[in-house]
This record gives sequence, structure tokens and C-alpha cells, in this order.
Amino acid sequence: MIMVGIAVGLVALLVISAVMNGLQNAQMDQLRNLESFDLIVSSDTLTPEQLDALDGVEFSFRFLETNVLIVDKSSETSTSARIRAYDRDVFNSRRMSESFYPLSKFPAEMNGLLVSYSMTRNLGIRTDDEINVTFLKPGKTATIVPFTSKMGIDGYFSSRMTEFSSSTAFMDYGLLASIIGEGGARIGIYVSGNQNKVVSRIMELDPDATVITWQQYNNALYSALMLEKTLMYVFLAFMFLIICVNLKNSTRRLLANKQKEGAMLRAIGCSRRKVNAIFLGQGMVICLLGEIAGVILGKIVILNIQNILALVDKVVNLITGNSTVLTQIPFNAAIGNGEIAVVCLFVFFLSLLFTSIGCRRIYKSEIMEVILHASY
Amino acid sequence: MHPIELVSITKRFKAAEKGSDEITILQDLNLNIIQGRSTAIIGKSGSGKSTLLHIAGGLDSPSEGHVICSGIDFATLDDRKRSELRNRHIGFIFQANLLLEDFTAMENVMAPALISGVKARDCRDRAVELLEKLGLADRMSHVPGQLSGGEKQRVAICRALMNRPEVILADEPTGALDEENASEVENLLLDLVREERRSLLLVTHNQDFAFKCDDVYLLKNRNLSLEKSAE
Repeated sequence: MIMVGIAVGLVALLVISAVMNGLQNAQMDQLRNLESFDLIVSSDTLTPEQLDALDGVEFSFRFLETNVLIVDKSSETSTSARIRAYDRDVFNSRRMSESFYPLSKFPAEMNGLLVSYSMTRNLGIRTDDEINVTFLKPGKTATIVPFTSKMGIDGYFSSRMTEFSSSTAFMDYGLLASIIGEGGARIGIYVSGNQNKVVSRIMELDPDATVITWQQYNNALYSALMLEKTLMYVFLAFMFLIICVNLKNSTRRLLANKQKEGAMLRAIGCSRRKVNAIFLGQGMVICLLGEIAGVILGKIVILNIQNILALVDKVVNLITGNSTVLTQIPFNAAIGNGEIAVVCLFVFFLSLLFTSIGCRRIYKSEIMEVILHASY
Repeated sequence: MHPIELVSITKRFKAAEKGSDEITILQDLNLNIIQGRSTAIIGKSGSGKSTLLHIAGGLDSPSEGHVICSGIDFATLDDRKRSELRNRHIGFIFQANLLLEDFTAMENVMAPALISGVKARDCRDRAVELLEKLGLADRMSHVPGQLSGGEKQRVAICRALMNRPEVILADEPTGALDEENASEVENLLLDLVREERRSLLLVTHNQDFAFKCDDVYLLKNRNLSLEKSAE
């Protein structure tokens, strides 16, 4: 029973960690692929071609960004948005296509805007509709650049980042450059190697360049995610502590039955310390077996988490008539070997601690009393 | 030097009721266990026979007095050394056989030797010899759950003799057995003790068994009186 308790506790810790990791990784991947890339470089001299040649850079590209007011001509509905402008081939890059999902036929040449499905719904617009786009000058107070353009809708996209999708529209780089100029152009970089080393190499190329990492760009959200992760571990630690209290009680019950054995061992020449060590050793073996079982079970559950969630979804749907949102969130549950090792060590330490607390009864028991009690 | 000497032993217990006086079970008691002789202590239930036996084996400490085992006073030893002394010089047999339930008869018999640090292959022959002597040759690989009460007690006797201790302390070793089994175990124990030239301190309320021993003492009014002596 004790072994099963440890195994189940460990499975819970590993699966929850893996799911939370998966959700956080999915969120971070979205941020890095779409919102901020791995690095953003502002430089007067560097070009994407130069940066592509650097070791550790997967892909770099120029981009422009500006704030606009989009007005549907027919309904006079308006919304403020951010326009991002890339060259057409950027949309085909591996990292971008992991997070950017065209919902309509993607045009070979972009003459208008790519907008999210949620924005079209807000504005009540469809493909080929004509809209007015008023370009705003960035700053504390938005001032209108005297330029309003009539544009068409080239297609729709989804990014699974609601905030991003509802506030961002895409445009061809050349087209936006012809409207607002290339003064604010920056370079986005996807990194394949060590991020810090890439930053150092960029700074060697242009000491005046400004490099912002994705963590800095999304500082508030990144900090929140890290805090969430820390709190999650604290929460899980408390959860395991509850398991440990049960473990201690189970150990005490088990050892109460083993008191007779302990007394006999002492009568034939085992010291208190040795008897304690024997029972602690048994506890350690039970704990290790529980952990091995827990890790194997945990891995199986993590590998099949989507199927399990689908099953849970079906059962919930069958009972309540409603679906859970679990299966609608795309994530890959993942847990590293390092994390598994830390969780196992933590579980092992706590299990051993509580087993040893449970062992105190054996340590304190008087042989004579136990033997007399066993005889009657 | 006697295997065990009890010198001026007094044992008091705290009364169960709060505020009551202590209860004296043994008062200024002296006893020498003589090498190669069997000694029995008889007395009524609650007279302190088992307490005396446990004190003699270092499982309990006297309130006053000294227990000298092979020339060493138990009171001068820490728990580890006291356990080592018990392991080398004393073999215990209890009414409840107290065998390790997960181990075979052979492993139970070998336990004291293993505890003293002897390797399993070096003590196997001795265990086999004892088990064969007590008619358990075909029961060596059985766990206690597969043995009868008499067989379990015979395994306990083998275990007590495993380390060739100077003295065997037996507390009602046949108390839980039927008449036939009890008689068989009594004879086996006494024969084996004589054959191996060990000392035996037996505590029992069975007078027939007691009077098979060389010396018999009656524990009454917190002290011993000699009832029979082989000398």
C-alpha cells in the first residue's frame, strides 16, 4: 500500500508538472514564434543576410511595425490595431508556420491586409471588402499621420494567442515601407543555438546595435509564467506533503505490526540502531520501488495524455452534456529528465523522512513489553 | 566465572494509577547460572519470573543490583555492546516463538549468526545440523506460516543455539503447545542443552518440566528459594 501511495503521488506530481510545462511551453513558443521572435535587433548597419551568416542563427528577417485605426467603410465600425509587415517568404519559415495558421487561401502577392478571424467578426468584414486604414504615429499621444489608405482583405489567420490575433494585422513589407518609410525597421531572429552567444556575436558585429531578447520583450508575461511555475511547484509540494502524512501513518501502522519482529531482532542481538536501520532500509526499498513504478506510470500517462484527456472529455460530455476545454488546448505534455530527478529526490527525501518518523515507535519500544504482549 | 550472575537484583515498576506507590516485583535477589547446568524457576503467574529472565538476558534493566554476563556488567555497556554480548553469549526462547514471518526456517535459524557478521555460507552447515537434530530436515525451506506450533518452537530452539551461546534463557517455551508437542519439545531442549553442554535458565509454571532440570527455584514473595538441587 505504501509503495502504491508513493507511486500514485509521484505520477500525480510528474503528470501535473508535464501538463503545466506543456501549457507553458506552448504559450512561450507562441510568444517566441509570433510575438517577439527569439531576438529583436535594432541596428543602422546590420542586415538579415549578415545575421543569417552568424553561428546559432536559424533565420533572420526585417520587419516593420506601426499602429493603425481600421474602419469598415460600410458599417463605420472601427478598431485600433498593430500592423506587422514582413517579406512574403517569412510566413513560410519553419518557426512562423508553427504558430501562424492561415484560415483562407494565402495570396502569393499581398496587396492588402491579413487579419484574424476575430477581427473580421468585430468589424463585420469579409475577404475582398474594402476598409480604411489610418496610420498613426507611435508615441505617448497618438497623432494622425496625414495618411489614410483604402485596402482590401487578403485573407484570415489564427494564432491561438487571442490577444495577438485580435490586435494584429499583417501586411507586405514593401507596401508598408512605401507608406511609413523604413526608419523603424528592425530585424527579427530565430535562434537555433545558445541565445546569449548569438547576442554576443551580434554585439561584436555592431556594438551600437540594440538587442532585445524574447524574455525582455515579454517581461511581464514571462515573469508571470515563471511565478506560476514556482507556485505550481509549491502547490505540488504541499500536495505531496499530504501524501507523506498518510505515508507516515501507514508506516506507523505497518511498524506497529512489525514491533514483534523488532523485539525479536533485538533479543537475538540487534541493537536499537540496527533494527531501526533494517526497517528504514525496508522503507527505502519500498520507496525506490514506488518511485520506479511512479516514473514508469507517469511516463506512460504523459505520453498518452491527449488520449486520456479525450476520454475524460467524452465521459464529462456523457454525464453533463458539456465538453471540457481540455482537448481544445494544444500542448505537448513534457518533462525533462532533470525535472524527474529533482521530483524523485524530493519524494525520496520526504518519504524517508516520514518513514523514519514512523520508525520512532520501533526505536522507542521496550523489548520486554512487546515480547510479553506477544506471549499473551 | 558463571555465564550469568544476578547480584542483589531489585525491580520496581511504576504503578499504573497516578500517585500510587511503585510496585516491587523482585527484592535483593541473587542467582548464579552455573556452566553446563539447567536451572528452572517456577512460581505463580505475576510473580516476576519473566521479568527476572528478561533482566538476566539484558532485555530489561534492574532498578538495583547488577547482572554480570561472562564477567561483564550489563550496566556498563551501551545498547550496541549489550546487544553484541547478548548475541554471542545468550540464546532466547520465548513462549511466542517470535520468528521472522517472511524468512524460511533455515534463515530464521541463521539470523543470530548473520547479525554477528558471519557470512551465510559459513553458518549454513551449523543451521542444517541443528535443524536435522530437531527433526526439521524437511522443513528448512518452509516459512513460519507453513509450520505447526511445535515445529515453530523447535526452529526457535535451533535459533537460540545457533551461535553456541553459553546460556539459553527460555520463557515458557512449551506454554503455547499441546501436551504431546510440549513433552517432545521439553525433551528435545533438555537433550540438546546437555549434548551441547550449555547452561539453561528456564522459567515455567509447568512443574514436571521444571523438575527435569538440575536445579529448581521457587520465586515467591519477591525472592527465590531453592526447591531442588542436583548437588
